[in-house]
Amino acid sequence: MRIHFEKISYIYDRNLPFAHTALSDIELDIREGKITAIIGETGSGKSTLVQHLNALLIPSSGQIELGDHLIKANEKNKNLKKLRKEVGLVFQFPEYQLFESTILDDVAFGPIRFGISKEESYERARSALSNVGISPILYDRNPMELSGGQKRRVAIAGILALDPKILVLDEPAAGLDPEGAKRLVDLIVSLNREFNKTIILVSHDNDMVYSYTDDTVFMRDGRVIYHGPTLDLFNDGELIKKNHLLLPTVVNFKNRLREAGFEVDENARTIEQIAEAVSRRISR
Amino acid sequence: MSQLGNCKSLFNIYNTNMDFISVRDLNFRYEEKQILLSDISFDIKKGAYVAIVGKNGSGKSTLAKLLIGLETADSGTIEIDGVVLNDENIKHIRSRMGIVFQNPDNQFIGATVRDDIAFGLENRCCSKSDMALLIEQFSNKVGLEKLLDKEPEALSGGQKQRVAIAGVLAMQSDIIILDEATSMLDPRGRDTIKKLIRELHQDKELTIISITHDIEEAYTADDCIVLCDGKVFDHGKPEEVFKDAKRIRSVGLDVPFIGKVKEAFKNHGIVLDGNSEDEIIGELCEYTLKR
Repeated sequence: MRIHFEKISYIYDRNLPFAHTALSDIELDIREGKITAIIGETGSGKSTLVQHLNALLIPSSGQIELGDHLIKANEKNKNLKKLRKEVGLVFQFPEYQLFESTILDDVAFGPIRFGISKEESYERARSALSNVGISPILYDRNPMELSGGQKRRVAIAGILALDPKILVLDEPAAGLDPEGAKRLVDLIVSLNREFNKTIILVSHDNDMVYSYTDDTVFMRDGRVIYHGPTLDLFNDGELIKKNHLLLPTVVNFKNRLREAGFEVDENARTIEQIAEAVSRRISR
Repeated sequence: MSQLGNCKSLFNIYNTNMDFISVRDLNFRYEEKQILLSDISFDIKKGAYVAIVGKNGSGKSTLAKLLIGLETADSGTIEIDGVVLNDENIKHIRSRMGIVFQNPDNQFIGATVRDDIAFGLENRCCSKSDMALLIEQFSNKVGLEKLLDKEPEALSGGQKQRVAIAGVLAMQSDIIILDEATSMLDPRGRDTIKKLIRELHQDKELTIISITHDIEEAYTADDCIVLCDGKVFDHGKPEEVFKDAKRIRSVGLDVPFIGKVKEAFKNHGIVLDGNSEDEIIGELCEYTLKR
């Protein structure tokens, strides 16, 4: 499914004295089947950008092509329901949106709302819950009894049950404990690799972005200042310096090893890969 | 700031004991069924930077609520600066504490960022001119100076966290509780806030309790309390607490970056002892020379 932003601008509270431009002239082509990270400081427009992906926000100017859908500024857009089934958006702190009395009902709510039969909706809910690693023992429990990490997974299952082609997550790991965060990252990677979902995620965790994403969109003041392979971004010393981008811990460590005379492969992006490269050299 | 100074001097520092916060045998359950905290005991020294870590649901936030008196324990005591918390004195004690919650949406009151920061100060017999000064000082420090006239609602998640942090810092409490207070900030913003909090902590008058999932932050704290299933699993210096990777992972946590590096090298037969990147790189160089 093609994702193409053409000259997108978005102004909050347009026509009001405190109007403010959150996005200006965004041109983007997001690759299908990949994991794309959206990074940038708070207030740089990341959340505003992703809310355009399922037409939750309609651009103030420009247009967005999303598969068969064309979202244009100043036009009444039809068929948004179909679009929202194809592009699933998981908000920041999605667990605040859980409301049904059982976990299974909560996850089945989405597909039922989209007109899918009850039977199939529950079928999908079970499979989505199993994909996010929630055990059937918990299906009849109240969502409020779950831990933060579990709630987050249930909320994601609610979106997966719609079987979207594209999954958009706004800071999926914020507030999770290290184990919960790691399992969530593993889940996101497997949704991409095994279930072929295009993943777009907003993240402040540059280490995670560096180790697990294919592409990165780097935003600043409502503009895209870099879009391309994640590894290339973090190798671009000039761009990093100019925009005060904080390097992932892994990259810092890699750079320091290089300064100390160790050869580390450009493509080594996890601690394990770096350790392997360095120990190979030591034992040679 | 004179008024605020007077305000603070109302509290006599008569506690000669080094333990500033003493928690003893705290028990708390929710509606008779779910035990949230059991037999929690620990001591915190004045001016310490203490990290409380533990997986989601381990009781960290509940403990924070008990410490500031938002919830009342079923049994056990909390002693702050020599005073055992009870219904009568809680308001008094609370005025010395500031808390920043994980999701700041739950704590906004003011119509603008400025009003919101002012709110806490108004409750503390602070004059208008002092207030303006404090608001300016702390909003600059957390990088909010351009946003003072905005509605809190119009801000991004990370900006909201900055407002909440500025509000608490401006009150100049002597105990600050941070409940996942920087989780929504971008890396650089988080770095700035962490440094600012460190800087404020330098004077050693301020006691900081930081509930965090940021293992790197916990690793630099003076002390670390690990909660698991509502109990204190461990309490000690971070180097000790995070030493045994297997043990710390068994409670849903992880070792800091440096620990992961050591682990990865160990898998390749290279045993490293260093506790910093410098030390580790030095050891690796020695390894190379030996070969």
